[in-house]
Amino acid sequence: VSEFDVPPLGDDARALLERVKGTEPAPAPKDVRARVFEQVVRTVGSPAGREAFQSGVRAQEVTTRARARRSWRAAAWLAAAAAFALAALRFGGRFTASRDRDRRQAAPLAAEAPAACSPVPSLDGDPHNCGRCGHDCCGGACSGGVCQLAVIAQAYHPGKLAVDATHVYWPDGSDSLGRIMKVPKRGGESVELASGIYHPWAVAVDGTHAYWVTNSDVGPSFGGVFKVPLEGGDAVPLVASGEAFAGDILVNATHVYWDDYGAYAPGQHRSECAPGARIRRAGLDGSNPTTLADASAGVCTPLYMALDAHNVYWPSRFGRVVQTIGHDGAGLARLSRARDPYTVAVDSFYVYWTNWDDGTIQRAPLSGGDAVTLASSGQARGPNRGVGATMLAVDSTHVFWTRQGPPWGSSGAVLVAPLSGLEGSTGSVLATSPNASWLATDAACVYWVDASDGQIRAVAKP
Amino acid sequence: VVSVAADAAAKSTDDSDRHSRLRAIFERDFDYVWHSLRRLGVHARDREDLAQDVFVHVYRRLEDYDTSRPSRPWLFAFVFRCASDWRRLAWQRVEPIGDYPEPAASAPGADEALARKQDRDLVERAIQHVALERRGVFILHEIEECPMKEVASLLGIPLFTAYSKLRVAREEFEAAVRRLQARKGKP
Repeated sequence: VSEFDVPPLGDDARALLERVKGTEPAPAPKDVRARVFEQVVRTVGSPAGREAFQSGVRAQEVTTRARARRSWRAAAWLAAAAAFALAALRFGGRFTASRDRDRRQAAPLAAEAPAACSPVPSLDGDPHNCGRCGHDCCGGACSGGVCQLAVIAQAYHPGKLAVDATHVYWPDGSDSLGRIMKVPKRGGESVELASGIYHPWAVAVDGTHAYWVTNSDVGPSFGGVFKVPLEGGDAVPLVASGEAFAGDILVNATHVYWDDYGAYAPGQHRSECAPGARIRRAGLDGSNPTTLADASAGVCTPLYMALDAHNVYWPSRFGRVVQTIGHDGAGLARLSRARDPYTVAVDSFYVYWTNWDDGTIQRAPLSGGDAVTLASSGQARGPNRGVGATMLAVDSTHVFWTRQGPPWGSSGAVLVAPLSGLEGSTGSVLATSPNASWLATDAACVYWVDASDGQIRAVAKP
Repeated sequence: VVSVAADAAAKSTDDSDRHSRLRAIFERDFDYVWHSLRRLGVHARDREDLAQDVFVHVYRRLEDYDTSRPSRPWLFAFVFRCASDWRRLAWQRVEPIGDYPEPAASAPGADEALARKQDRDLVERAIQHVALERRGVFILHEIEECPMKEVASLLGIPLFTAYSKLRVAREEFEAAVRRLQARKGKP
């Protein structure tokens, strides 16, 4: 029998398969995903896996499951090992051999295939192949095979920044002369998108617009949410008033999300919950502004949030918890207790946060559970407290954070640590920066604001 | 002592690299593994355990992973083997047809996304009507578009057998599509 002897699929069935090409069934439940990953890393002996299993709720869940299936699994493994051995004898090397056979379907995986260098450059000094082929220095120089930081823009008083495929965006200015700015990622001329804004604080971007929140520490009437086309133009108010102290803004395909820090009453102590704290969202045109959660749900002094495909996450700083809620306002949950959560980031399995008080990084599973301290120098207080973490970002392999300079930390820097083996790590310095503050990342680079001189800087990921 | 320390450091770096690679594969392809287990009839209550087994196997065979080639056929071979072992060893019955939701009736003015979802649901249900012993060949060749030589190699079966299975599997799939469409009153 060969392909010539097998009738092809009928036209209807073939057309049906063509139509669904590129579509995927609904994703697996998120909690299952996280649970399976934890089980796998535990089985293969990862320190991260062991650590994950030391925390109560998850350990109980998985241990119960593990006990229940231990007996049949032992038998299964024995038999599977025997079957595998037999199969290996019979078809030895088929996995590797298959690679050398028909390569018609071979499609390179760009993210993992090593980049080719041709002609072979000097890996010591080529900023596009620094230390290894294809390792681009994000506009910085390459010295001795190590990427140096690049200054890509000089700002006046920059706030929380954002990146898209081509530009870095930031809010600039703390008075009525505030502006929304952008600059090409590799540096170049800075362009003003909008001006005359009172105290713009944080910016987010989608494919067409930059969105920002303003806040006011002098009165609630100034707080609001606005947008402007990425090419510049008229600023459009989405929610023009009533937001007392909007602290962060995020956007997805359908909505813009922001948090309202609340407004302290005169004389109220600044380590208490400010009344009026809320997590909000509205359509991209400002329609249907909605409060997803407020003080009655435990929202307390939220600052820098995170968003994934299903949920929004925030630190309720003086409530000492990290919280989440679905995009639609369903599924409010306290994910973990936290010491002094300041900013959060998420990946597919965990929510990560920095603690302002001791500068540590902690994380907990997205399904909830005890906090595990990851990066810490072991010193709880003082200028060298923790790892000095302030703002953070996470990708599939590393966590990145900024460390502010004195008096908040010993010396300002942008740091990185691999996710595996993060526990106990103090991180490696990617770049020194006197007062590194807000940061954003893309696939290859880390961008941050240095609050000491208002520069927007970049450095390559490891 | 220096040598032992250096070896330990090298091992630690190697472990870290392997975990990073595993994590990258997991993040990208967990849903694929999950749905492949379902497609191969693994009961919902055991799918989580089998998914874990698949990735443990993947971890142990990371050295075989050729990053210049699509990952899914390579992963499917692990899924196929784990599902086959599960069927052989477990006393439980295979997932009955019906795990996948019935496609919703198409409403007038249904948008393209809904139509695509209905098509996707139809394909998934029709796959469930291909006999288990032929389903792996069908999925790898018709869905993952793997050449037949590679399908035979990945599943550890002779090429002749693979073609035989494909012929019958195509007939089963087509018949199922016709039946399911007729049930919904579609052309």
